[in-house]
Amino acid sequence: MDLFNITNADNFLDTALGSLLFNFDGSIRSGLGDTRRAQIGVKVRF
Amino acid sequence: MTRTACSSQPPEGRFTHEREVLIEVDLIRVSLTFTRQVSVFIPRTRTLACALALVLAVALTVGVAPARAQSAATTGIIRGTVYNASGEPVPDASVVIHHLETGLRTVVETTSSGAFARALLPRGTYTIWVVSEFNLGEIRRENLLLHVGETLDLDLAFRAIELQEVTVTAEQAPFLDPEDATQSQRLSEEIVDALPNNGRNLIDLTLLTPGVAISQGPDGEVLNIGGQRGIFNNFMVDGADFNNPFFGEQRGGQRPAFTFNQDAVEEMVVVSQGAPAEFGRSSGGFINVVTRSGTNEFRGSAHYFGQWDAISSEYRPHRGGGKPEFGRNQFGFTFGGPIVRDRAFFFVAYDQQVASETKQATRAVQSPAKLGKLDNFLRTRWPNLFDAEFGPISRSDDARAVTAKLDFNLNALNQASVKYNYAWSEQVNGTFDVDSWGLSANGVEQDYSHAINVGLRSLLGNTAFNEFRAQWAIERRPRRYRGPVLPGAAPPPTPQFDAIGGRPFPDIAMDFADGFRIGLPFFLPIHPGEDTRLQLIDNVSFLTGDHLFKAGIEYNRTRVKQQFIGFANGRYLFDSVDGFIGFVDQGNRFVTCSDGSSSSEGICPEGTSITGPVLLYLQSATVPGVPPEDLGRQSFYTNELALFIQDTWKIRTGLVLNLGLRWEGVWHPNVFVDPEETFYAPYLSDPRFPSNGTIPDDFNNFQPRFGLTWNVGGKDATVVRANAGSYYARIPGLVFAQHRSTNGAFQQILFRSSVDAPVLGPVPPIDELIDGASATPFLPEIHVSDRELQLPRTWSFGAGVDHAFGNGLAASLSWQHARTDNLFRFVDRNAAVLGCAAVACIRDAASGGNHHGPLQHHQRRQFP
Repeated sequence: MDLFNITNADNFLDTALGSLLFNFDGSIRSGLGDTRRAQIGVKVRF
Repeated sequence: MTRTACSSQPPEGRFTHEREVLIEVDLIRVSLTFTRQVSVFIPRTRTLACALALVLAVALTVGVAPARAQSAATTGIIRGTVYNASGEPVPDASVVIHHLETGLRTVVETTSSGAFARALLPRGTYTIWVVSEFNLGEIRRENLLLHVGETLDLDLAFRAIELQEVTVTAEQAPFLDPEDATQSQRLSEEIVDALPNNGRNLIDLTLLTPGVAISQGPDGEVLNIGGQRGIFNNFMVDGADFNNPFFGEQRGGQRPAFTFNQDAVEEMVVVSQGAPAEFGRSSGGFINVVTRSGTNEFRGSAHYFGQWDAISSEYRPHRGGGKPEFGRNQFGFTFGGPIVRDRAFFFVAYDQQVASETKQATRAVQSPAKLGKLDNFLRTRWPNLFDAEFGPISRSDDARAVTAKLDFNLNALNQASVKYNYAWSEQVNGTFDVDSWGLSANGVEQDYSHAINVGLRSLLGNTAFNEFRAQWAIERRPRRYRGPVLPGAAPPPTPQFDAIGGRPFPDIAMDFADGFRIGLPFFLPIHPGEDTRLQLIDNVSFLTGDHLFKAGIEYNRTRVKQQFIGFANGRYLFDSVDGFIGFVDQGNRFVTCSDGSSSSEGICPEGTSITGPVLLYLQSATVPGVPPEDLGRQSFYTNELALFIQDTWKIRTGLVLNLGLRWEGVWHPNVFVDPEETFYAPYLSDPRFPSNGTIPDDFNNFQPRFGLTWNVGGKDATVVRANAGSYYARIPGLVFAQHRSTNGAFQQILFRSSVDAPVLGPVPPIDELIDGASATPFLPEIHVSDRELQLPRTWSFGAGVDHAFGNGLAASLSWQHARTDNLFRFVDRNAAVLGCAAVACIRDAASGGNHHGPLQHHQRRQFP
């Protein structure tokens, strides 16, 4: 099991610069990203 | 990718940053090494407390192998000198080099000075033994681990003649690399395998390298290395160019979860500074990934990793709380082994991700009331078309990656490899994650690529080696619209709309505060959107005396084929939600007035003026005489040639000098229309006009490289390093796209507004388009390249010292300076025609930008 963002810190995404009204970017993400996440996994090497 | 409060964020590398004409960066780096190196990059403007916190944080979580000399892109070198018991060089001794994993065994003989070298060796474990016709006995070294790009330099001495018995020595690589003049970080297979990596995208691991950070690029996040723009990196996989020629980032860009199975990576090296002349096409850094190959043993792996909301946390209360809804499953395998033992090997890898999430579950906007009003209007005005427009959005993030590789030991002199890589990804509703933008402003983002690589490594006699690599690759990035279509409206004439079955709602934005947005984003649909790359590389290494020379040639031919229609479906900017509603309900002559009144006849009361509601309407179209269906259609080639020569000179034991010179030339694409036939033809002879109408080629790119390492005392305890050189970056095709077509003679951008309606004509209703094909250009927006356009160039200097304290502890201190000029930009604010003398230059002078006039090479303006 893996844990990411253990402290559950704010993880801001790529906020837009300036007014969204005049935005001409092709990729914008606003708000918060991942919270603390647990991951369950298994890996086998042979 | 996660940013921290102590992030070493460099200046952003965005195309639209108008004043960024020169970057000058000083970095001071402190590294602590605990068995495996742990490094932290500290901009000198950061506080010590912040730096120490980072040191501690990274030291607790990261283990990275020591950097090694970068002397080859995909292979390593073993060289050295053979001495007799008296310390005299032994000529004509036979040095047998045996690669344990594949059984590859080659023999080279020492020169008259006792030197030997074997280049182009695959990564792995080696046994070396030396025999001499003078019956000096035998030298044997075992368990020598050779990394990619590394030079193992060995001094091998016969003992006294009585040593007829075999001397066996178990080798351990020195803790500090005594021949590495670069600033680089190596991530071996073991480290990549052992580190937890959220998402299994190996690109995220590059952030472990000091001096590497992220910023927003033209189509998502990009890596900044040494403070340079993210589009200036050179991403290589197995020595082959892995960059997107249009956007300038790595193949696939930022949207795919991954393009390789992480377990297929044998080694990844990030060179942030000081790369030798073999490396080019980058003024930032080099990310060099080498994939695994099969060996004499059948080996493999299988994995599954899952994440979902039930085992994850909620947002913190001050961020609104609540748990994100998501699920992600990743599974795959690797498998490799012999086809014919010691002769032929195979390796395959597969990885897949199936993921989805609910985004915009709650809409954090400044005015929920306005959003509610807009939502209600859309539902009422167009029943069933916008029912889910501002509700939660389900977004997928699926990916698949396949790698298949064959390696052949043809004989002791020749080794060959063939590799195929396929990557696919799709994000439904993956265009934006913006709370004030609707579902219809999202499309289906896809990326898929095929790449075939072949390589041949040959031993040419006793001291010369040749390597040939070739690649053909194609990448496609279609972007599809899946929102509602306007009832009864005819779509633009370009073929992308055939599959949609009607005309999508135009790109509509409104409200200064929230910028609500619905409809087809102006950069969708993209189809076709593909690029192909043909790459040929050949280089020769040869040993003479204490010099190991390497010379090579590289040719790249890329083609970009796409049809980008831009504003063909129209883009509206309304000042408010009410203005939008009034425009739709009362017709396209609806205006708002400066006294607060409005009119559906387009006339304001005397003494008042029109203020809205349409701030701007944009529509791209071809000009009369050009078929409308050809709007935005492009297919252009870029050709690149490079030559280099470098010398790794072992001046004496412990002192190695690397000198090199690289030359690069580029043939940029031509424009669509003869400049003499364009709208701006009358200005071409005017010295005040910045362009001659063409896109200049650039052949004056000579790049000297220098590297020096001094192993103080020859004990591998203290190593001093220094490097310097110049590096030229590429200019991505995106920069030239409009220069080729937006010239008033092929296509144009029509513009309207409520204010200008009495002069330019009315803004079209949202279910209509202006007949652009019959509209003579009026003040056409034109894009040209500066006459003096040159590739961006970085001058880089660095120095550092490493010291090993023993017991697996070492420390290093290094300094780096990088200065980049010839940076391109879209608008030259220093141009007098833009009011430089009155306003802009005053501002720029305050920032020093005015002194960089010769560095400005991209211009765009309108000529009346």
